Amino acid sequence: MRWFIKGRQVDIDFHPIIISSLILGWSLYYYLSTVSVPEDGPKSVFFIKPLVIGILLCFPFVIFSSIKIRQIEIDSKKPEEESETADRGFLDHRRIFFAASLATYAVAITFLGYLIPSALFIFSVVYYLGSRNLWILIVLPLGCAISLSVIFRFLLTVPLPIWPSW
Amino acid sequence: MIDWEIFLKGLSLIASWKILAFMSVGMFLGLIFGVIPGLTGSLCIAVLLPVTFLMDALTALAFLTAVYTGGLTGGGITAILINTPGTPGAVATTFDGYPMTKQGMQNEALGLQVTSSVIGGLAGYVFLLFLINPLVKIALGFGPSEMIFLTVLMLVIIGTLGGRSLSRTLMVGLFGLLLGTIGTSQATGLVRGTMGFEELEDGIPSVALIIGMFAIPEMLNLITRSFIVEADVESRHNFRKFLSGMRTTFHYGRTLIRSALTGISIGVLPGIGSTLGCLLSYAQAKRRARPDQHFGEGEPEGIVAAETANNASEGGAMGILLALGIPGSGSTAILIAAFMLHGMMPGPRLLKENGPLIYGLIAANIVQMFLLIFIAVFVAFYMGRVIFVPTRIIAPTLLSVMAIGAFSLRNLFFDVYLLFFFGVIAWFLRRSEFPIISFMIGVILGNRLDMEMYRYAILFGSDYSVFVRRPISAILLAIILFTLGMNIQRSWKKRHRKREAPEQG
Repeated sequence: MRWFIKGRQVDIDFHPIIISSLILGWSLYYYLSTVSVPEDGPKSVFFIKPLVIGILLCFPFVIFSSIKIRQIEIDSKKPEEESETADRGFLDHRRIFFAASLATYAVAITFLGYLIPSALFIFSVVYYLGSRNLWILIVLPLGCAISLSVIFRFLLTVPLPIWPSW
Repeated sequence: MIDWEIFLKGLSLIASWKILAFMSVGMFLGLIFGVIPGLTGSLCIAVLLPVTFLMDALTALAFLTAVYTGGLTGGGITAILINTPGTPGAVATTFDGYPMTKQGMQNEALGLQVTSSVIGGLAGYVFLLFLINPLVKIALGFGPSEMIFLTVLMLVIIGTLGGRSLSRTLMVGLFGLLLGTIGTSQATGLVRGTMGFEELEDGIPSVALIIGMFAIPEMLNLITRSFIVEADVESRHNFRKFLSGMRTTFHYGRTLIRSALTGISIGVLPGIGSTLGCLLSYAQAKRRARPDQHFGEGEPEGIVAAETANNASEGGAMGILLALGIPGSGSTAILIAAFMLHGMMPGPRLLKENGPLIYGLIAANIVQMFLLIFIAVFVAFYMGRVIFVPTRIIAPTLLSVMAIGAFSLRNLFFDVYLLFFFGVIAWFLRRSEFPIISFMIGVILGNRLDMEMYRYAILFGSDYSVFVRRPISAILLAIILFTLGMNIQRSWKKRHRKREAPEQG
C-alpha cells in the first residue's frame, strides 16, 4: 500500500506484517499453553523459550523492513497505474479456483476414496484453465486416476481407499 | 581417509542391474524436470518420493540422487537452447550458451555443457568420497551448543548471502524450529502444541510438509501461465558437433579444476550453493580471460566454468547433508525426508551405523555421472519439446500424485490436509520473501535440537557460558557475529549512500 505524506512516498507491504504477526501470535500461544501445564510444562520449554524470544526480537525488524520511505518529486506524486499483466497475487481467479479445488479434493478423498475425486479434480482444473479438447478432458483425468490407483494400491500395496467408504 | 573395507562392501551393494536401471530412470526424469523451467529437480524428488516406499534404502537413495543430478544438469539444456535456465543454478550458462546457439553452435554448446557437468559432478563426489570420514570425525565432536550455533549460522548465511531480509530469514527459521518441536517431548513426555490434533502427537510429518512446501507454491505459480515457455527450441542436432564440443571441454583444464573447487566449496553454503557457485566460477573465468576471448558472446570457457561449478556443488551439499544432517538446498531437504522414510537420520552417526550404504551411495553417484552423458544427450536432442506441455495438465496431475504420496506415508488423510495447508502457507511465505529453505532447516532440526538442549540442561544446568567455552562453539559464534556485523555495516552503508544521492542530485 502506498501513501504520500509531506513530499515523501511511504510504501507499506502488509503481507510480511500479517504473516509475522501470525507467526508471533502462534509462537506465544505455543509457549504459554506449554509452560502453563503443571510440573512438566516449564521443563518442556527449555528450547522453546529462546526461540520465542528470538521471534519476538525479529518481529520489529520485519515490520521495519516492510516499510519504505522515499523522498519524491512533487510532479511524480501520481501513483503508477497497475499494468494489466501484473501478478495479482492470491486474488488471481486461477489461484483462488486452484486453492478451492485443492481443499475440496482433500475433503472429498476422505469420503469418496481416491479414484472419483482425483478424476474430478484433474478434470475441473484442466477445464477451468481453458482446455476444451475432449480427449484431454476425459482420457487424462481417468487415465491418471486409474493408473495411480493401480500403481499405489496394487504395486506399492498402499492401503489406499479407492472407492467411497459407504 | 577412505575406509576401503567398508567402501568395497558399499561397491558390492550397488553391483546390481536393478540399481542401475532405477538410476537411469531417475536421471531421465530429473533431466526432464530440470529442462522444464519452473519445474525443478527438487519438485521431481518430492513427487517421486512415495514411489520409493517399496525399494530398499540404497536403491531409493540412488534413484533420488540420480533425479537430483539430472535436475541440476537439465537446467543447462534450456539455458543453452532458449536462453531460459531450467533451474536457478544454470543462470550463468545462459551468458555464453545462448549466444552460441544464436551462432548455430548449439550442438557444441551442449557437448561442452554435458561434459563439464559430468566432470564437475565427478569432482564433487570424489571429494566427498575422500573427505566424508574427516568431515564426520569433526561432526562427531559437535555437542548441543555447536549444533545450535551451526543452525543459526546456516540461517544467517541464507539471510545475508542470499540477499534476502535477514530478519525474515531468522524469523521463519526460528518458526520452523518451533514447529519441529510440536508433538510429544522426548525429554519430558509432554504433548505440546498439537492444538487438539491427535495426529500431531508424533510431531508434524516432515515428509508431507516438505513436499507440500516445495511443490504447491510452484503449482500455484505455474497455473497463471498457459505454457511454461513460449519460445521455440533450436532442434537441429548433429552428433559429430556434439562430440567436438565434448573434446573442446578438455582444452580448459585449469578452468575445470578451479570451477570444480569453487563449486564444491560454495556448495556447502545453504540455500544458494549451486547458483552462487556457478556465478562466482563464471566471474573468475571472465576475470582471467585472454584478450581474444569474448565472454558473454558465446565463449566456450564460460559454459565450462558455469556448468562444472553447478554440478560440483552437489558434492559439497551432499557432504554437509551426510556429515551434519543439515540440508543445504531444497533437493537435499527432500533427500533428508527420503532418509527418514527409510528409517535413517543423516548426521555424524549415519556413517558409523550405515557405512556400506553411505559409501555405496557415493559410488552410485560416481557411476551416475557416466550414465549422465548418454541420458543427457538423449534428452537434449530428442526431448526438447517437453517444455511445451501446457501447465493446466502438469499442475493437477502432479498434485494428485503428491496427494497419494502424502497419504502413503502414514496411511492418514490428515497428512494430505497438511500437505495442502502447508503448501498454501508456503506460497504466502515465498511471496513475502520469507525463504522457505530456512523454514525447512528449522523443521528438520527442531526436534533434534530440542532433545540436545534438554541433554545440555541436564549436564550443565542453566550455565549458558558453556556455549562460548567450547572452542568450536566459540568459533561458530564469532563467525555468526562477524557475518551479522558485516551485514549491518553493508546495509548502513547502503542507506547512507541512498541518503547522500538525493542531496547530490
